[in-house]
Amino acid sequence: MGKLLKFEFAKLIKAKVFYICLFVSIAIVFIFGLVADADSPSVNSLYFFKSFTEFSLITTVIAIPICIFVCEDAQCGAEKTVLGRGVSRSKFFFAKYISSLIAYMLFVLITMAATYIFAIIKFNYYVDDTLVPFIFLVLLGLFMFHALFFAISTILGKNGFAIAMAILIPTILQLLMMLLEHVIDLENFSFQIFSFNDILNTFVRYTEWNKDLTWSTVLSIVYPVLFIGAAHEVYVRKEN
Amino acid sequence: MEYVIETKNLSKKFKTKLAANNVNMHIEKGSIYGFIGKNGAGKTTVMKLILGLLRPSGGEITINGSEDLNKQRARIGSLIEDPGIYKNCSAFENMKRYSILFNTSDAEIKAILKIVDLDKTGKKVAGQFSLGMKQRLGIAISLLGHPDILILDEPINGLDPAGIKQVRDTILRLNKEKGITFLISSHLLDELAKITTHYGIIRDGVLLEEISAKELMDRCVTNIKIVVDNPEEASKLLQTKKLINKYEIKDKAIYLYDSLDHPELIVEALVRDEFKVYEVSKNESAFENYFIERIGR
Repeated sequence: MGKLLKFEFAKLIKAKVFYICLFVSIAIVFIFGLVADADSPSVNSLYFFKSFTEFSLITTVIAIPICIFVCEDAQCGAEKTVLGRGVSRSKFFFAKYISSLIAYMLFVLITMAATYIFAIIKFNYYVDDTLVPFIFLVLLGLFMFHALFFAISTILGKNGFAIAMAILIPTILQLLMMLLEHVIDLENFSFQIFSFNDILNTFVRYTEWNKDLTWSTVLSIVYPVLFIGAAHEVYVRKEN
Repeated sequence: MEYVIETKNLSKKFKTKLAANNVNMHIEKGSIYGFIGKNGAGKTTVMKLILGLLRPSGGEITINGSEDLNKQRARIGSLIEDPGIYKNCSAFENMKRYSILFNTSDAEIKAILKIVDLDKTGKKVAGQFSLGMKQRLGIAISLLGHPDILILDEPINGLDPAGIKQVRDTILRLNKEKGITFLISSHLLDELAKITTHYGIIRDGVLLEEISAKELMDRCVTNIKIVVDNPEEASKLLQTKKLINKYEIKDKAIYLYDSLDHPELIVEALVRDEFKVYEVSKNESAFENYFIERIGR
């Protein structure tokens, strides 16, 4: 497993697409910050930091390198070369999952750090005790998005298709939940809580613990378990 | 006989199609086994089954006499369909990346790149390589970790004559110098015939025949057939006149296996001694015909 992880990390370090997307992501932060009104009394550093995360472009941009990274081995034939040497499919799958998760989290943390630095430079410095839980909750939400992107890429195996699906599926799920809500009108219950975007938005809006937050926390753990479990099953049964 | 790869009734079914049908394959240690069949005959399927890239529908595989296949597969290098190279990396970087899995030193990487004649490609990325260079890099990757066996699926497909020669020379060198056993699939009979020691002929998923190159040559040797009124007497005459040496008589005809360059001298001698010559024919494409009869047109 150690060798497989090293193999995957060696690939990650050379993946230009990660650096390009990281640059794009940080550039978006700067553009977003530049157009924001720094003189507005309601805009402070914490507000900018949270609202940029809510803007959630970060979840779209990161889908690209993750899908390319995961699909690359299958597309170039490296997967056959490695698996043909008797390497366990499960181990190869989890090596890919762990390395892509670490890369994803680094990507997110670097973008968040850039956003925070930009926020405290340009806007009135303000911080309260919601900042640390906010960061953890957002990371939990993005952990769910990573599992989704990883599962889609593993199952589809073609990066163009995987990128398109990774971007579309959260929106499709949100639309389906809206439709379901329209058809089945339940009192005191919104189907929207199942949508990925709603889960992330619940985390972003965090001020104090509530029922929605509990639901979102549970789902952001249940979804990755389901996605990774399903993707693993598909992968080990897959034939090259 | 020591077989490095042996299959017993190996089968693979894709929905309704039986891509490999009770294949019993025997690959001897140190041999170059040419796997011959038309496109879609089942060559790649059998290779993938051996490598564990496909799950068999039935049958058994043993590698180096063992059924612990994943352990034994660590001793097999392969090049199946795509060479498995990262286009944004140089030849050395590609090898270096894979070397993580096989504990290979930089010195060994350089030595392997020299074997496949890619040691002077420098920083040129693999995406800019010619098809032949990519194939050779694929072979180089498959050589990492000192494999005993190499499985190469159509390694000369799409290569120009120079590229074919380079790959062929590499295979021969590795077989002779390192004792590596090869399983090579191809539908290019002439090219395969230059290196192969054993053949397996597959058609519609069925392994029709396994034959050594020597047995094949014995069966497919070029000959001249002479149909004459008294073959026994005629052959004695030709021997006395030292016109023939190696021959056989069957079905009232003389089959000559030497003196093939001047059939006119033989006919002249027979006619002068008043033998009646009904037919003289030269069978030159026995080798190709042998395969075509089996694999189908």
